[in-house]
Amino acid sequence: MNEEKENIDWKENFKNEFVLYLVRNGEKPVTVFKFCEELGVDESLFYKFYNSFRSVETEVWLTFYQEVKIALGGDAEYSSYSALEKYLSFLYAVVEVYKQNRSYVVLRYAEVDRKSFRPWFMDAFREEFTIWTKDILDEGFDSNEIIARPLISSKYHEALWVQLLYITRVWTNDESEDFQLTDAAIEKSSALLFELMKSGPVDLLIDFLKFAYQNKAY
Amino acid sequence: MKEQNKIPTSKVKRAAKLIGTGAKIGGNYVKYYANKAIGDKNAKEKLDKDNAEDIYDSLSKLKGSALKMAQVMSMDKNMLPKAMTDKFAQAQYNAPPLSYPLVVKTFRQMFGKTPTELFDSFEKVAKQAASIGQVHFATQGDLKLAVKVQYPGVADSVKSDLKLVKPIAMRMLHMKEKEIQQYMQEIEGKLLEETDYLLELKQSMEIAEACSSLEGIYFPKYYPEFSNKRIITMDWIEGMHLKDFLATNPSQAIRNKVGQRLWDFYDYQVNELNLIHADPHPGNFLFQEDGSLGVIDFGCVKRIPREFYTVYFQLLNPSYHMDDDKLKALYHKLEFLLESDDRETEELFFNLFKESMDLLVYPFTNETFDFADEAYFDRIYKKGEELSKSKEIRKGGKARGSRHILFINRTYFGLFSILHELKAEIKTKTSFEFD
Repeated sequence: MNEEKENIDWKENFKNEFVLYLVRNGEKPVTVFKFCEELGVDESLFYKFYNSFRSVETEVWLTFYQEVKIALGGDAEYSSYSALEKYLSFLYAVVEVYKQNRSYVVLRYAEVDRKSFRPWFMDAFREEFTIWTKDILDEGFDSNEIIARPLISSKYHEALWVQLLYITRVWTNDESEDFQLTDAAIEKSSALLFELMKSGPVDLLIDFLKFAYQNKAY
Repeated sequence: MKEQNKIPTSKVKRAAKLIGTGAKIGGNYVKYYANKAIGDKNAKEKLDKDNAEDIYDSLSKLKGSALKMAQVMSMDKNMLPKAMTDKFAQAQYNAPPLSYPLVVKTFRQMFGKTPTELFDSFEKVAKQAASIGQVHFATQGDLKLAVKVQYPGVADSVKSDLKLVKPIAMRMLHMKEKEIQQYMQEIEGKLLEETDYLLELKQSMEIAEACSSLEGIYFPKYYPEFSNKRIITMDWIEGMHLKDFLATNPSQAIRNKVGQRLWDFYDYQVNELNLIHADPHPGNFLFQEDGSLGVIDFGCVKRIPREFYTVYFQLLNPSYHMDDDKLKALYHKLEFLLESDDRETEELFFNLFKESMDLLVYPFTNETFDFADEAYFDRIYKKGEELSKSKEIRKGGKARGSRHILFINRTYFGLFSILHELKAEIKTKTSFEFD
């Protein structure tokens, strides 16, 4: 019995059992003790891997992120994509991962305040996501797909984060066939954001005003 | 092709866009009355042009059904003043494409494979945009394939778009809500059918099979194993679009030949199959130098109910045109004239419809008809404008004409205008059996 339990990946197992508990009961177990008792293990085993239920959930979302990255890695064409296409692939993959855990994601997002741009359970996810989007944005700068602007371009990744939260929310409320509404939301909002990050008329206007002012060409 | 960038992002924005258009049209009317007040004779023309531009500008920024609606209306040239149809005609070619990752996702969802896993090769950038989807080029073994992928959420947006377009259409066509309802339903029904690619696949195979005996017309082969509700795969058809074909200066003999084939194709569909390829815009025909003709896109097929067919095409019957009483009875059956009409109204509409119908059936009344005839088409446009301006019609207050007429007329206008551009002389026989 004991040997059998030692062969289990308890870090993984606690996580899965916890999510199962949540979607079955709609709320978390009363205590870690109770949770472990039901699994037939000592609560000290739990604390070997996690500090609290919160850290379990942070781990759940981090795993989502990792699954997305694995999916992208499995796409032979991915490396040839433009920055926008890579980013779109990410969002489509995220939705696929969510789909495997719909009840859980819907449950969690029901709690999130619309104005909160920092759901606690996504903290670790966000850190990884930010690092990744910065890479993607750098690729975009290099290929001139998007342009760097003073002050604003260091905040681009935050706009993408807010978009991800928006997409997740749209998806949790999406009742259309095959979640086509979410697909359209991804397509349109990403195209819009990348268009805004592109060199456009406003840049020309600023450039012209600067020229006119500096050279007194007026 | 430039990938899609500036698009309205949400239903709210789409609504805002169209409401904006409504407001602008209102503004155009203010300008119109101002111009009229200062005695500008061209005021009306300017108004039409301003309206057309504003409507077109906002429609072209929307996708899917609004675009399709514009297409339907742009086809029905007699319904719209000329300035509008010119603008709308542009809508037929420019729709922005979808991103490749979404194409991949759709393939994964439908086939469990990416496009490059499913086919030997697959071009990332779409070759053409269709109104509710886009076409990619692919190869499989020796086969060259056209793979049409549908935009997501098209069916849902059809309904909401039409709801938004309705008030504008009412204003443009001087119709009341109740009148326009049955026509909007007909359009909505057809547009929703077009979003069903499995139905399109079935219709395409059915018509291609039924028309396989027609000489000089070819259809792509369809591949059900590579098709599903959001993707259709067919042979890549060689051929030029009408404009490119005309640019090669085809001889009169070739133009007549290809025009005749087109004519016979429609005659066969109407009279033998009782259904028609109701989307005869130039993008759906591919011309070859030897005068053979490829036909694609059977998304919009109008089935003609038998009882309607036997009545409607009597309009072509010469014996009716000699006999006003017979014609009146026919018009009643077609709902051109209504039981509730008083004598005066009946007389008015009888004459109105007789004049325009005489014009429309004119090509059928001779052995041959030369579609190069500018004067004829000018008369059609003039009649259309006259009707759209007519105070009596607006006062008439009721919708006239069976809903089935909408797509049949759209088809014939499309056919006529292609033949006109071809400047083809056609043997306009019809296989309809008159009583």
